[in-house]
Amino acid sequence: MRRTYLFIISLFLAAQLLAQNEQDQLPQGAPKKINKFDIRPYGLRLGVDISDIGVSLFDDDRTRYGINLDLDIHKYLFQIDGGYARSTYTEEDLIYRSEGVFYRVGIDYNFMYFNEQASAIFLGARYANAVTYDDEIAFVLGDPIFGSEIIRSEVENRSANWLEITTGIKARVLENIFIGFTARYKFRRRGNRDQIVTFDLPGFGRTDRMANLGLNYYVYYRLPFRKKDLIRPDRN
Amino acid sequence: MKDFLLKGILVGILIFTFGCRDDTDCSTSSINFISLSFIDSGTFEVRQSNFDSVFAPGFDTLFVTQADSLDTLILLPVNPFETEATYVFVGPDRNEEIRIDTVVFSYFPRQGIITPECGPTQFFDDLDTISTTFDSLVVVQPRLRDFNATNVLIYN
Repeated sequence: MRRTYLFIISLFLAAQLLAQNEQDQLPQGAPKKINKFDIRPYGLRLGVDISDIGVSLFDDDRTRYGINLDLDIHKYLFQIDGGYARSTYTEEDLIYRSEGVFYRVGIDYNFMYFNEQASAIFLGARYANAVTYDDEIAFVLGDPIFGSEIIRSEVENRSANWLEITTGIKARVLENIFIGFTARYKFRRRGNRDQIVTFDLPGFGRTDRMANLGLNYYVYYRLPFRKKDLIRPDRN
Repeated sequence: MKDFLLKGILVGILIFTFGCRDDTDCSTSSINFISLSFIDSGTFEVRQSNFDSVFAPGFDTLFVTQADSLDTLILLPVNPFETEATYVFVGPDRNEEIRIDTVVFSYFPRQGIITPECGPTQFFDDLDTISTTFDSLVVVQPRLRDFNATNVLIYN
């Protein structure tokens, strides 16, 4: 519960800081205009998760890869994520491994929909699914009555799904190049019951708590389709 | 833009830092015992177990001895390496004659880890009866989670 409060406080702080910053930069005397919904996308942004690359490079027990695709339509960012994760936990007399692929689909509301450079501050939701993953566990189990044995189990082709509330920023740093992060509150995890109780679910992370927080840093390349023509409502 | 980025990254680090705080709790909700209560089939009230002994064929340990015969709830350990367990109950019947009953339970052991530091654990679910010589036996809680929660009611 404490994490949830901290997460909400952090979101509030983020919104306050970034909104204030944007207001300071607004040009004066923008023309009056009505922001009508237009299905034609402004651009497509492809992102690579650099935090995952960092984990894969520096942690021998973890391999992670993730990409993000967003389509900028009107005030919304339609999101698709894909990823791969492999984790190994090794302790004395215990080995646990999980490996699999996942995707996320969802939509974000872009609070900076009027930004001509296509930077974004967003809040949204995702449906996430670990499409297929494998679990493996081996450990020594000692029982005072029934003796000691090595327990070894492996379950393949499992699946699980969960929901996410997301927020973050995507800021332009060079022509068509953006960097940013997505913070995730992952909850309502559901999956098939099987012989192994999953401990690390690809895309979700550790399952010893009902909800997880996640943070991914991205570098994006944006393919612009047309110029941004939305303006702030208070400038109409 | 530079200011905007710096503040954004700062907030990101803030969320990440607090999000990764971990409170390790090594307690587990799993036990490897089936708890049985006995119901008097005449009055439908809980009664003492009255068994002289309860054991699993092939193992030396007596799970229940005469000293436990006044207990209203008995605990039978399940074999974590199997998916079935047979128990033999020896004790006097209503006519004070020795009676032997058997029960074969099936269950589904599942493996997991509490945390890597805390180590592995096993969960036992889907408790069911394969066969029994008792007149009536009902599985009321198929998950083995709590010493005080009755899993099986035996009417005799």
